[in-house]
Amino acid sequence: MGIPVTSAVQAQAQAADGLATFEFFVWFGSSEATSTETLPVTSAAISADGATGDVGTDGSQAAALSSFASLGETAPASPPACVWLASGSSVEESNRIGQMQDSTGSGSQVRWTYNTEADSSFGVGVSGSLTSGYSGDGSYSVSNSIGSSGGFPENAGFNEFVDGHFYRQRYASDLDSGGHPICGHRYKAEFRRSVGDSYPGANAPAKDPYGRCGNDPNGLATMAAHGGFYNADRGHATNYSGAATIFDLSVHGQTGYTGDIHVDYTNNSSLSEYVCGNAELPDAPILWPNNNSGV
Amino acid sequence: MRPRRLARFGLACLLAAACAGLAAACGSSITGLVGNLNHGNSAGISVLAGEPADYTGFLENRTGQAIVLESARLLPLPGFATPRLVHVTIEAGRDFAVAARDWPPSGGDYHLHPFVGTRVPSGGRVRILYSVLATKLGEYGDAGIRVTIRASGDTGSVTVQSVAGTCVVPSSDAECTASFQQRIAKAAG
Repeated sequence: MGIPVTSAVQAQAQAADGLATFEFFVWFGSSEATSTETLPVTSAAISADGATGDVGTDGSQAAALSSFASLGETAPASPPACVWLASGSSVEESNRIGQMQDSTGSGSQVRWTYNTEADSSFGVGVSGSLTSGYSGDGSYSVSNSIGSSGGFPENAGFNEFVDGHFYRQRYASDLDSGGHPICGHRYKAEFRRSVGDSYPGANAPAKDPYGRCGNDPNGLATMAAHGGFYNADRGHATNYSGAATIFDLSVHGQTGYTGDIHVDYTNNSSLSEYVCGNAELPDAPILWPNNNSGV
Repeated sequence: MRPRRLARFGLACLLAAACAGLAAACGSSITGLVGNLNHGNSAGISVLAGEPADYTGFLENRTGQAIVLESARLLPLPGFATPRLVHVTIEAGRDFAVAARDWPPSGGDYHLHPFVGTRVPSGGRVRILYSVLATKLGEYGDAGIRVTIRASGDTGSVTVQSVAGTCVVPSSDAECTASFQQRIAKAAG
């Protein structure tokens, strides 16, 4: 079980010498029990005197909880459902959904195709504050299921990330409208739906680290000159660590795992062109092309 | 007599359909042949009439035992005229041909080995280069090849997916149309 260090937790720790008090609720069948623990909010190891836990390699702490006291007859039949209520309107944002590169050889062309039902998955953020202090809390799958389908062609030398528009929705816990205290004053934000468009993104991804396909240890695929083409299924998803932002939180994104995104290479140049990638083809999530002059 | 003949004919059709649909059950119990590694991908090229077009399919052996490749036949692609299969071989080098011309294809370091008799160890993967031919102008497509294998005296077969579009053009400076390329990509899913 993880406990997010929200802005509310940080505020309490600042006011109490780095300590924050948590109330844990546990349900055993239809019986409810609680335990109250005061834990340090720090990346430093908890002292042996406290004997409550150790800091893990990722900075997380393990804490032993004291015994739980039964609440007896007041226990609910089951854990309460923390209902999230939409807070404000959805906001359209530009998220990263892929990347596309092309050879710089004259006559080379590349096209990004983004079909309906192409799924994306983006991180979900939670916070104790409306517009800041968000931390990651799982992911949410977004389907491009509104009937949109499209893409864009590019010419030789293209090397950019590909972005698409998604709608982000913020939710608030229902404590103020009678919800259970366990739900707390919390906010959650996630991307709920896709516009279904795609376009060149703002930044350029890293180029082939091997310099050219001929040096790629994963091998290479050859497209003949004067009209060879390769429509590469991007069903092998790539995970981007900074694919989207939720207020002050950068979240991961993953697109293409349903296989409805393609990068289409057409070699209308007079030289053979190669496609290689960061894994053995045809499984490579990232592809890099160049021609037999290495450009 | 007529009703009895019709009944026999119907029974024969039923058996034929059952064996066509359940090839593994009728001919082999070999499981673990993976031929869909290229699923979703497609490729193509323009060629002159009578000029071979070459494509690659992938086969992985997860049967738990070594297999030996025996034969291959071309699979039609619905909605397209089917070319003729003229060559099958193994690409053993670092390169493989996504879409190439002539036979053997030029422009790559393919290290071609004979297809028939190739032994694929358990856990191994092979790249199968096949070549098709069409003699009339037009647009052709295939869905890959059906490969027959042998393992421990048993025989089985597997579809090696490779959606490929071959357009036969009147001159060497002509290329496949964008709409043909898109239709091929769509057929690959």
